[in-house]
Amino acid sequence: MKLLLIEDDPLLRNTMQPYLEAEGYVVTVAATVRQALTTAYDHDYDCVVVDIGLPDGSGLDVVRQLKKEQSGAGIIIVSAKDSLPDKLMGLELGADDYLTKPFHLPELNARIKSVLRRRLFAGQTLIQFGAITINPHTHQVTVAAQAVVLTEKEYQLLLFFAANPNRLLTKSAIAEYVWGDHMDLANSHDFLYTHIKNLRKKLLEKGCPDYLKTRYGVGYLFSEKQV
Amino acid sequence: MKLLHKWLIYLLLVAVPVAVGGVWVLQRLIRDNIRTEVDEQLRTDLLLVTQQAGKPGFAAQSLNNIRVAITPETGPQAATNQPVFTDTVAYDPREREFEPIRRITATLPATTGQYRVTISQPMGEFNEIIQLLSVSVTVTFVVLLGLLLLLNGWLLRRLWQPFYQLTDQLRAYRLDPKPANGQPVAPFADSDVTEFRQLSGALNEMSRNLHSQFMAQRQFTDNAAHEMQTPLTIAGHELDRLLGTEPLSAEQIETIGRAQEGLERLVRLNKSLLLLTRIDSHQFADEPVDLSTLIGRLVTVYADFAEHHDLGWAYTETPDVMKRMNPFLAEVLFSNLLQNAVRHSAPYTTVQIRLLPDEFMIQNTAPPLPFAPDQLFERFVKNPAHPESTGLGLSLVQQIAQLYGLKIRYSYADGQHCFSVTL
Repeated sequence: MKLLLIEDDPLLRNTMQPYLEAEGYVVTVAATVRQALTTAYDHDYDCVVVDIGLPDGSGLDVVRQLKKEQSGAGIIIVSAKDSLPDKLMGLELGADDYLTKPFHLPELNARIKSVLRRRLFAGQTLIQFGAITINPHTHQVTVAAQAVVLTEKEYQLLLFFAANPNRLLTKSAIAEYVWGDHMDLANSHDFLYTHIKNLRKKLLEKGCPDYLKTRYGVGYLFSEKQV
Repeated sequence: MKLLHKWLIYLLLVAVPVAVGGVWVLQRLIRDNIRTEVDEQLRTDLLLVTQQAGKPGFAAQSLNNIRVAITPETGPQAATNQPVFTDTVAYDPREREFEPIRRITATLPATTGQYRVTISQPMGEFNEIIQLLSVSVTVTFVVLLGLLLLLNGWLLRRLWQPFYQLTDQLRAYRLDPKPANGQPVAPFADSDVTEFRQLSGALNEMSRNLHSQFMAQRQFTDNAAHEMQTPLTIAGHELDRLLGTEPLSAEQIETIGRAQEGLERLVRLNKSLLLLTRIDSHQFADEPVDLSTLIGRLVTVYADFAEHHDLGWAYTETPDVMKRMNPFLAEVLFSNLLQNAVRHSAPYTTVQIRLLPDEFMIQNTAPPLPFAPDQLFERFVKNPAHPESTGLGLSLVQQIAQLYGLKIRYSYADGQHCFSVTL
């Protein structure tokens, strides 16, 4: 999977690029609109992650240009501005997702995966993790051919875990992904624990191996490996 | 005290003694003058009598009348022949009262012997004239004074009109006007009176200075909050990556976890500050928002949280409540109120949420506020029991309510905290 990362801040680029490369993407970076357009013209990308605030223009121009050239790449806009008009504008131009800074890397990863699934496989592909099969189109989850009935939040949790396997996910990253801004609450981590406990119980009931491990109260690890 | 009233008081303080003293002086002057005139008249009369008495064959009786009395003088000849003025009274049968009388007495040598002449002049009529004069002068003075006061009052009010306009404008003055009219603030009106022109000129200059300072400050906050987003992202990402390295000890993981929690608080704080500055600078477009749908959705979102906190969650809804505002701000406003209720409620109590056609109410049970109720909506005021709170949630609520002219009220009675927003 080839990925174009357009971000002008070198420090931020340095955190995002290795993370995404570790996820198995071939990552090309660009720091300006001009660079991005030249690179995008020369190569085909499966996904473009673009920052709105660039030194020589707006990331929205890149989106506009990509769409004009009928690029098939999935587009995720990253912005420092939590601005609804910007978001609507981006999505209207044809971007697939919009992420506001600051965001967690696992969240970006989950979103890229979701965009790629929609783009490349029209959402029809099933996500397989060990004994668990997730149908992202219908939100159905099965364990060894038995349907597991999950609430919407539990489904989101599972999807997030499945997108970031073998990686320690902190509670705040998980909460941010599932509840977004609504998680600005005291005891939110206890609350998260309740939901994860329920998800785990439902999976175990259907004979699923215990993939979910807690890590010193800081976060969770979703892994087939037995630790 | 109004300037007008103060001016009136000073004027009266001066005018009343002047009037009283003036009348007294006037009366004295007129009386003295009249007396001098009367005395002169009496002297003239005496001179006439003296001339008559000097003629041969003078008969005293011939000159006797009501004013002149001549009696033969039998005593020894007076040493001097000076006439003597005296004041006396005599009964006036017509007016049935005693009247003051001015009298001149002199001893005259005549051809037929010595006579004592007394000429009288009743003064009653003169006194009446004096009184009449004084009264009319006083009345004229008072009427003039009254007219002067009225005229001055009216004039003052008219002259100070620009001043009242300026104070009205100042009272309505806001540093952060909506950018709709382009102009920062309606300038203070010019005047053809130099003093007021100076005042409005100074106010205009002050307003321009304040406004540019305010804009610079707001721009600064806005930029600062924005610029912080990227470093915050970097710090978060580095911690995410650190968590991905192997092997990590329990202690290291816990340390990273604590760093992330701190960072999370900073992120929330920054987001709220950014939102506050953006509300301040009116960066939000309005559209009709279906509050019934919005609040219904939020109530569902937070129902899970409420359940987790062992809270009852009762919602009474009214369909199709519409309000023109920004949908994002509407969501912030109501979700902050709902979060606030969940966060601060005592366990095993019920949160009552009511949406009425013109009011939103939320009531929860909790101990009284640990600070004064009037601080409730202030920035960074928070319950010490919840140090992780940003202390900005209710400030945002108030700021948004203010932006849309919604009236927000808080009351506490019998352990019940109640917030109501008049829509």
